[in-house]
Amino acid sequence: MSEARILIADDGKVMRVVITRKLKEKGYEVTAAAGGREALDLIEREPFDLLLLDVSMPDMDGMETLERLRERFSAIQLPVIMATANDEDEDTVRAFELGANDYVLKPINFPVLYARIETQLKLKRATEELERVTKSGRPQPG
Amino acid sequence: MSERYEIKEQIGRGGLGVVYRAFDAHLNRDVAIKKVLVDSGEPLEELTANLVIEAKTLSALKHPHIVTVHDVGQDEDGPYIVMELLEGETLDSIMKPGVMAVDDFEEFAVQTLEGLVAAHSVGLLHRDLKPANLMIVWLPSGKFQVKILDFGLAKFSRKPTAQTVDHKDSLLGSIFFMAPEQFERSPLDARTDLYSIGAIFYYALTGQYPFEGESAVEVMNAHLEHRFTPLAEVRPKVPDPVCAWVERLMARKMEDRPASAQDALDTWNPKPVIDEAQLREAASGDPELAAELLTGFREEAEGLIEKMNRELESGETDAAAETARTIRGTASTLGYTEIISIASEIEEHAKSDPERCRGLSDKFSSALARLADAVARLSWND
Repeated sequence: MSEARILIADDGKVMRVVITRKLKEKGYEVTAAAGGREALDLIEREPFDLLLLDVSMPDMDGMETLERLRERFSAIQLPVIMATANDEDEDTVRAFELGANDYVLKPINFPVLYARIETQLKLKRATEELERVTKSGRPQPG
Repeated sequence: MSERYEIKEQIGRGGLGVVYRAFDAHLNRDVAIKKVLVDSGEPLEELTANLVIEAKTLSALKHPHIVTVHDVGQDEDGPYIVMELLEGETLDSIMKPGVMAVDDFEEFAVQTLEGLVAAHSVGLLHRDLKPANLMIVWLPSGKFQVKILDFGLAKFSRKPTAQTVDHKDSLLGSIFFMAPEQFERSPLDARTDLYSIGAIFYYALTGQYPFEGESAVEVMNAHLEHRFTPLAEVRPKVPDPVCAWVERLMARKMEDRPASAQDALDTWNPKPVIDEAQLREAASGDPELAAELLTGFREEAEGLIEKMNRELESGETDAAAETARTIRGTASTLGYTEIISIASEIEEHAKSDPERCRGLSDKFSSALARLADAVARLSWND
């Protein structure tokens, strides 16, 4: 398990507390934002390895937040997993079009969330390693 | 009787008779036999008539929470009733070491009322409900079964009837559990039994009689003046809705009580329905965090319900459904199944039937109002 830094954005305090606690138990370093704007501000100030982004939020919803985020960060630089209570195909497609890496349905099934987070983190690390190797011209040991 | 039933030992004594353990040689089983007290000073004819009534009314009832009557007969000593032999303890015996746990109380209350519903549905009143007339039978599974005993004073009564008085002009029944109308010799009905049941429930939860006094007159006056210490003061840990429900059963005026035992059962919903395993999972097994989450959820949900109501009012049904979905999402994480079911219904009907959803919104609010009791019940550390 990594010590990856995860940012969660959810306007519901209860969900923030539950998700934060669960992810910390899994060994992640977790920061929580109460909305899209706050999440973007935090991302400007500190590095994160992954964003778990709630779709339905009052100040700036998850879709808009994702759209703005992708103007600055690629899907490899900052993987985003959308959390949505809405399982309409239309919304899922839109999220992927805007640059979401993956999505989980609410209520969150935590084992599924852990697996999806790890998949994204592994992919991010592997891609970054590949980029680094490509730039340096030779693979690093380990 | 001696040919078929072999008396073994006396196991109880009530106002109208003595109960024996006996062996039924025909069916090869132990039974309970209630015989009249022939030396009680009462005219034998009246006692016989009372027992026959008891037997007939009881044999008409086959219910898991009412003692079953197998047979009735008469021998040289007088009439007798053969009943199922219950291996249990009466409530008053069980209560001696303390008070009933709230979770056990829920089961106890529901079973007792189910028995009363059955009896009342055929027009029977008990009129003498008291802890000694409620038998608790322990089942092999570890659960218990309530059996209502001694419908000895019951009579067919589809309409309110006049108070029954014995020859010494003393009121029948146990004074601590008698309804005011029984002292006032007013007409009785099913709500009279509900008063007694309410007083029994109070006793079960607190270990003390609600209406007390140094003498019978003082006890009677306590009933008539409705003087009792609120249940919540005697046992603060009992959830408020349970206290209110019990106190409503023993309301001074009959019209302030539930209309029937079924009505009492229908209003028995003292705690929100929460999947504790799910809540425990969400809170990582920490009762303090679980309490914090439930309290937080209540605050959040109240705001969301207001929002949803505004959306329903303004015809924004998609938005209302979305808000209900948000509530359901968090409720699902916490295992709050009652809210999940209400939210799902709103999601489904927001568009087609907003009026119905506004009604459901009230259910949301009342479920949330009971959350404090769910929080009070969290005791995983115990």
